[in-house]
Amino acid sequence: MTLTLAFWTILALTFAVQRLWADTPERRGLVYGLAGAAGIALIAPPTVIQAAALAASVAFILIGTRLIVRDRRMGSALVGIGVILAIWLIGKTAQGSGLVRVEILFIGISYMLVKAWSLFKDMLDGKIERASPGEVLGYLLHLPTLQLGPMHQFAEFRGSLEAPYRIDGVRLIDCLFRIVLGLVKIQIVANLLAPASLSALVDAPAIPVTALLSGAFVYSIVLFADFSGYCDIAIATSRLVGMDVPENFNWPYLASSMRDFWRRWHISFSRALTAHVFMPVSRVLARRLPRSPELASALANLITFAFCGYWHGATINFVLWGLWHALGLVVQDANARRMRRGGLRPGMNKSSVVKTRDIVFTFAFVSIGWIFFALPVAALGRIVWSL
Amino acid sequence: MLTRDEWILLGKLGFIIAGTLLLIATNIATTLPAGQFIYGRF
Repeated sequence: MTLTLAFWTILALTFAVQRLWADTPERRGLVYGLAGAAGIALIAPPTVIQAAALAASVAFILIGTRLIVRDRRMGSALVGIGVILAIWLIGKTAQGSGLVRVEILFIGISYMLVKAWSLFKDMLDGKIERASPGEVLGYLLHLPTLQLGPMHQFAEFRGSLEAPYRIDGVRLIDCLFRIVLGLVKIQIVANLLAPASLSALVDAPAIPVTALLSGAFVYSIVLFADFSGYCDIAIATSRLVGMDVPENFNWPYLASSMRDFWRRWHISFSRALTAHVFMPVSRVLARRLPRSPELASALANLITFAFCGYWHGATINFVLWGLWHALGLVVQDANARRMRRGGLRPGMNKSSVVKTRDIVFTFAFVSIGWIFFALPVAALGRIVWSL
Repeated sequence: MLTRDEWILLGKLGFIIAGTLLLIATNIATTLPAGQFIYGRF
């Protein structure tokens, strides 16, 4: 999406129109929205069905944001979110099962769904009073972040519409630096290492355990280089047209625990996952299981990360990947409780040796988890069969 | 004497030049996938 001539042309036009015409947040949002629509049409042309699904999703989200101002109830939010949610669920299930051949998922739908729900939840909670159509269009369709994030929260997007990111000499160099950095990560690092990673094992008839483990560790680097490289480009190009974007990574492989990892990896998604899945599920389970807070917490982790896996891909391997992370969190939480009972405070006064051990262990756990992420069920089955 | 921020800026400029040359050398135009990304199936 970000590497075509059409993308850079649209970006240049967006910059010009923002400077010449867009003097209000509403107009700025509208320009971002129209630029996103043009980008989809020119760079990733949808089929008629996908275009209709996109138009219906956006239309109902806009209707929902009007309804919710008059009637701040869940019903209004459901009207707004219902169409895109239905399209996403049907499309993902079809994608995962292979039973339906018609592709209704349009580009960026998984991200748009999260952003739309986040907006409605903020409106229900009274954090956002109202949102104009221009602002909402820009929020949903902003081109650099459309396909793979990072995802704004609506208040962040609006903040940048009200006070656009101004480019001076230093910031221009910073943006160019991040674009080149992103390209180097994707083109040089990821492309160079990909043949030694799990990606090369997808169709292998037999996968020895040593090849699997080395492939998993290399894949950790490939995936990070690829995804964070894309985010570097998305953040920098977005800032060039006046829209600031939240960071998506903070040295994730230096995480010293699984919880720490999710504070550093795909940050814009994990904060939405925490706020809109983990917290509500935890509250419900805590009410249902008042005598078993540990069980409630474990179940909340399992449900949250099963959804997390499904969101990434509607096949069993992605759900297994999510459950692997849930397992890590459950074990880590149990260990923290055990330490507290013993009068220790987990995470406090760690020596550098212990910290390094925790970082290495977390990296190893996450890397092994990528096996489920990268390999389809058939390949996973061959691995189990050969053990 | 350059300040810390000026050194960082200079380093970034150096990286932009070196990285661009490296990318040209590896021929990005023919090998970069447009929108083909491996993080999940969206």
